[in-house]
Amino acid sequence: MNWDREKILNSIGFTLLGACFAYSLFNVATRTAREQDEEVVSIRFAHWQLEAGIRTAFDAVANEYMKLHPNVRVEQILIPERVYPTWLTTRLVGQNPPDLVLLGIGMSDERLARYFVPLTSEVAKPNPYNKGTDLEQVAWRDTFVDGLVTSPGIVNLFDYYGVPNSVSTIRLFYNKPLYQKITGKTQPPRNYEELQGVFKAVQEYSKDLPDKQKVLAVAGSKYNSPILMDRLFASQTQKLTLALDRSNVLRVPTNPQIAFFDGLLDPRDPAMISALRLTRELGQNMQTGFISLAREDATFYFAQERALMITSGSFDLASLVQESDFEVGVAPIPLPDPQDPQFGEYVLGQTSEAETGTNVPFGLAQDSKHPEIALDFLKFMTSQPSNRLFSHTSTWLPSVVGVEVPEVVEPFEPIQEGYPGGIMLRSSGGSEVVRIYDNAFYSLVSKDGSVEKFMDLFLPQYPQAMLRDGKLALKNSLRNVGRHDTTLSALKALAVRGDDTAETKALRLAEIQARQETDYYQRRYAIWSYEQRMQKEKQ
Amino acid sequence: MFWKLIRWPVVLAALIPAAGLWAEESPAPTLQSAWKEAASLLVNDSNRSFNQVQAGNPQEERELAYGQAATLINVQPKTNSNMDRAKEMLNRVIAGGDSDDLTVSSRYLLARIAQVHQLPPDDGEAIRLYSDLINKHPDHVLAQQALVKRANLQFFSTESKTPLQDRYALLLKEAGLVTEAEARRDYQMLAFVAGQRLNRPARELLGHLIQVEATGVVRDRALADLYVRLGEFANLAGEKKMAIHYYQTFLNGFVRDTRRLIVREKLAELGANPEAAQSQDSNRKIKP
Repeated sequence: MNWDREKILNSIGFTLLGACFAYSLFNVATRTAREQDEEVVSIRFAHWQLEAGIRTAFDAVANEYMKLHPNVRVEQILIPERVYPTWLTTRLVGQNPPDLVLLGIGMSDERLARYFVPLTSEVAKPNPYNKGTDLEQVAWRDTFVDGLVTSPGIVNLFDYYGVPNSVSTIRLFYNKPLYQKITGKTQPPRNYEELQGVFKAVQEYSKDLPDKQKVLAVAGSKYNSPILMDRLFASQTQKLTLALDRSNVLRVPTNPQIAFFDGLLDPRDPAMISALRLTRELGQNMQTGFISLAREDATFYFAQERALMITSGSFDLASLVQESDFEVGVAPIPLPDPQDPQFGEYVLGQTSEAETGTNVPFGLAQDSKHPEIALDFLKFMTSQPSNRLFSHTSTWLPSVVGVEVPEVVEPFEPIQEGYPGGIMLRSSGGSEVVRIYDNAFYSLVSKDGSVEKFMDLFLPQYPQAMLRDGKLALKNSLRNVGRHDTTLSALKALAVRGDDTAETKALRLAEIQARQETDYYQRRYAIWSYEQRMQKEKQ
Repeated sequence: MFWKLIRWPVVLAALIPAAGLWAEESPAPTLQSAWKEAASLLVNDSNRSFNQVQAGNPQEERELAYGQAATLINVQPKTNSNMDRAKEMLNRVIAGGDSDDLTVSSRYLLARIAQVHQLPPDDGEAIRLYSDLINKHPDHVLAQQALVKRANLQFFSTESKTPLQDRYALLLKEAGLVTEAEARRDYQMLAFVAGQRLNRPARELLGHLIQVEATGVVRDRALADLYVRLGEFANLAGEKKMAIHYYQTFLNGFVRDTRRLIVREKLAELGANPEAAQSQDSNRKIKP
């Protein structure tokens, strides 16, 4: 038989197709058989956390649950982040969702209310799976390190819709052997001055090496760079923020735009200039064009030993360790001390992470086929013993009080002692300010760029951008304030019908609305006064 | 050929009624279920439900009209014709009752439409409607809220020629009208913000904040901010003991807050022992 190349390829293709079809058929058939088995109940939970170790950690928790409940089968469904919202929408609308769903991307208050079960009454009761621990008598809500203050739905719906599994912080990851080779030290940089020393050592090390062997100090990308730059920028404006804070709340005011319209916030402030100088220095120690690179590119740079350090979240620890053939070290972001000769003048000190919220929250779908069992598994999953198992297997920070942090994860523990971070120029307005900042950013971090070149581009556009953002924020704020009118009417009507929780919710919402309304009119007045002043100046 | 063309539409047409047989019939909406939808931010659904509810008596009919109006103002997309329809319904509710809750709520909502919902908002009309409500039902909880809303519009007006100082004086003068607790809290918070804009003395601003605290702030975040502010303004006003008290209250109440260190430093500056509060310091392993 004479087989030409095309036929061979076609045959391989058809064989593969057939194999895939057979495999799918087998899967569907066995799943259907499992579902038909009246003695075994299947529950599924879906998420997009594809980082190394997570699947195993959730499997470990599920296996423990199945040991306790042999009649229940727990399956996890992993969906890539990019397609998760679309996939979830289809499942929710089709009334065929997984029993438990990771809440976050693609979720809105309306969607929560429509498709998920409020867990408010459940979280007020102790979690039975905490029996025998120090949390035995504690309300499920209070067993989480943040008391569920960041639970989805709590802000606008005043109900808890999700319970979390972890906490994440941002840290500096470094290549330990290479770090020692280049700097001669084993201790990571403790402050920005020491980080500058590392920058110099890396430049010195790479100076005479051929291009392909040169090492960069920090692997940057559009994902990794801003998290480092923002943290350092905010260190420079800590004192400035307190000076801008007319309401004496000792942190970045809820509405920094008002400070600009009142003539208090000036991007030319020496603290802002210092922050921009620092940002430029960081950019100079990353790859050229880092801002257009993806997260994977930065990880690749680091794993290939072409960059000594990278900044990312605690959730990336396992992935970075897995992808790197060297020992990975972890350190807090090295911020300038107040004594720093170059960047210390505007700093209060280490930034506190005390308000770090919990994450990876799962919600219970309204259309769950087995809501009682799914809820029971959710309780099991977020009990102290299970969260310990999850944290130790995944190397993610635990979300439950009393869970010992695994040694390898200790460097990620939120820093409690410190000061609030300061205001950032990029986020001082809204989307327009972000746009003009990003457009001018290249002139700040490129080789032939400078703070002056950045300001030449950015500054003339800033007032108009602030004005546009301010007016847009006004519009959104009014819409938000107005939206509460319907909710308040409904809550009051339900309260009259004897719904006690509605009464409490109405009280909270009325307070929020009153604050938002005062904020709206104050902002409107500030913008109006600013425009009047500008008009007078023109004349 | 003809059959080939029409066979699928025919099959589909035959299937539609059949599908209807299997379709689950959802229960008829009630006032209760419609309000529940509205409380869950499902405004369009709620408005549809209100439109389907069958009222059993004239009072229910009024509540139904009120529900329709209360949801119509936020039905997406928002249009002025919806606002006009809502106003008509609310006026009908007002015409059908004396001074009951529904009448007052409808008057209040009419002012809200003028202030917030119609495009462009009409501040002058809103002030007029709020004043009308305040005069007709001065003690009603919504009339008390109306005092706050009206004061916002008056103080931050961009049309008024009255100097800001005089508007502030009016705001303080009318504070006595606000007797209901939650309204007093919101009114005093407004007075604080207004006073700040005019750089009023710390002692005066502290007075507003103390009244806010006396009423009780419901939300944790707002309460944390309030204690920090109280400490700060007491400190500025030279009320050392009071400043220490509020700083301590903040430290004891809010264990996960990035301002703890800064507040402890302030306590140390005042000669107080920050350790007293620090002993309450939680680390994440102890308690939330």
